[in-house]
Amino acid sequence: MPRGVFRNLALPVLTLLLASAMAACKSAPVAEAPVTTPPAFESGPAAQPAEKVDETAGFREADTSAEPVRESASSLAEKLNAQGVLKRIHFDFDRYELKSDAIRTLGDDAAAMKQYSQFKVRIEGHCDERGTVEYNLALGEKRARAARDYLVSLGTPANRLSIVSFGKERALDSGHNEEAWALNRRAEFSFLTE
Amino acid sequence: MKLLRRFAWLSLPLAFTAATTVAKQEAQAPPTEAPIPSVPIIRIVGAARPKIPIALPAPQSPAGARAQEVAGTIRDTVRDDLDFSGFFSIVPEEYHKLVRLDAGGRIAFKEWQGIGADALVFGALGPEPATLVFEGRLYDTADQKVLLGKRYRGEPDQARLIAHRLSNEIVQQYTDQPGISLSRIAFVSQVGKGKEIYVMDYDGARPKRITANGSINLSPAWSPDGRQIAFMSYRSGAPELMIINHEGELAKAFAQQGGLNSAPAWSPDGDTLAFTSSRDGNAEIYLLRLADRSLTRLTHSDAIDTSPAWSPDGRQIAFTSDRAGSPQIYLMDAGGGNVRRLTTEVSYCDAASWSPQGDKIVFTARVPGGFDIFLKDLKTDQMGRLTEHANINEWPRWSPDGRHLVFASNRTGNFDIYTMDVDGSRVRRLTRGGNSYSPSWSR
Repeated sequence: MPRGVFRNLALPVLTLLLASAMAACKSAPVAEAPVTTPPAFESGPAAQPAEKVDETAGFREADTSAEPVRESASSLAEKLNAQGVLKRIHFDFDRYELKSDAIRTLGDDAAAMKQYSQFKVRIEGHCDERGTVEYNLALGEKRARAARDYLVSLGTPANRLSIVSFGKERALDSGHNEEAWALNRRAEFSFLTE
Repeated sequence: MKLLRRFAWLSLPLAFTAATTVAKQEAQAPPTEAPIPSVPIIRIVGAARPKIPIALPAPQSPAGARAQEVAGTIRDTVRDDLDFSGFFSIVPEEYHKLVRLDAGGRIAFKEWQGIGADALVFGALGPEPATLVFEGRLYDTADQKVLLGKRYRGEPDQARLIAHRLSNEIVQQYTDQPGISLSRIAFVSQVGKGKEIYVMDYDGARPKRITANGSINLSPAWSPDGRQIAFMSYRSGAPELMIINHEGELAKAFAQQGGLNSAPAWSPDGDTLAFTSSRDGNAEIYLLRLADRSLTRLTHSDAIDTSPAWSPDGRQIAFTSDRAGSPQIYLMDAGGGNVRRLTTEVSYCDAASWSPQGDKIVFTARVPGGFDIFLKDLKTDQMGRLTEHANINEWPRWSPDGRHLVFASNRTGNFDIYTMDVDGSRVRRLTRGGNSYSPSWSR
């Protein structure tokens, strides 16, 4: 190799020995090569400085020590929710129209909401696992909105009802079959504090 | 098999063959949707241009197990980067023993040529234990000359970073295109009942959790400069658009009053976020100008409009809408006008992503048995299928060089992040054991 090559590149001093490094290198699967020394990197008088390696935008590891605070519901609202006073409704795949059994259920739910009129109600829209996160978020919103609109049409004050979509993020059944999917395509209702 | 066209910047010929697969309308498909015409879906079966055979002998290293491990990590990482790039074939290591490593103080170029190596990477690790100094040199064995020489200094735990830097230089040397070895992938992964945002290297190494609020955090999207990630979070109860920067500082993207705010997508110039909001009562696509937090509504339909994806020139936006009865991909101008439907072949298409070259759009489509990833060539209007019948394959996103895709799949039972070449070949699994999805590849 011509001697000028490294000098032209102004590469720095690094005189190194290979010695047994080849054989010891963990990924070398073969017997040692019959070799004594490696082609040593030549020295150059004007060694260029090494490039500093940096994470330009490495993103920080999140602080996991601070545990999130969960809000607690009033005991009565919690109790009613635990008892399942408000019944969930279900939807067909990729649909947000209310089915006839859902309409019947919503009639019962509206009555219960009237009975416990001191509580606001949150309507959650949910989807099965098929389809993307984003599409299902929008679909879950449509489902929650369809339920809300019908409850309002039954006389439930709109200002008592809030909606939120969880898309496919909160499955009731984590299975990957028709039964699980049917269960997961739903709107759920819960009493809120105050 | 018919050769259709060459993709200019890569000279990567893609061979298309008509596959036997024809999507059939499913029983559950909405009744408003017309039956699928029996148009054969074109399957891309991948052919590549000749690869450059490259040999990477073990780097020189000071004695000691630790030094040799670091040197080995750097070499292995460079090798994997070059292999992944698709431009190189790695000369098998067992051939190296046929070459004299020291031919009288010279490199035995002819012997390296003899085992098929057109290119050769020699590396050397510096002797200092507290700091990592690595020098890499790339040789052309035919011309018997150095093509590039680079010396890097870093912290002892930055072996992979140094390797990626060197890999990028080597790719640049041969292709005149920047390598992607320093790019990263953001994704969502389940932690207990919560879902948090993670960032990892493009090869799946060094995963790092960047949110820890215990809530549901979804849909990470890189800013073009790689210094910020927009995502959606339920941390305040309602789904809100947030932005986190690389310092870990978290802020709401703008003042939001309930309803759905999701699906952020950064414009190529970094000035604007396209996103989905139900703030006016229905899921529509909006633009958020980050300088003054002003909002512009782009879509007006009673249907679902979501998942905006920018064209690389920032002039158009692809999105999903079910305005025709089931989700399909539509295109519109970035001002909201000139809306037209892109996909007609399959009854359910979603999650478009525009290639960096602007000539293709990938998306997820529902097929019998699950979801697969498809590609639409905007010039030829041809459709290619990139995955086939393995449960759910979704949310494809382009690598910065437009040669690879990252996506989520539950082919093993749980959702994991995978990459593949843009012809559907060389599928690699990047995550394991979690429930990980919604990948976004940094520019």
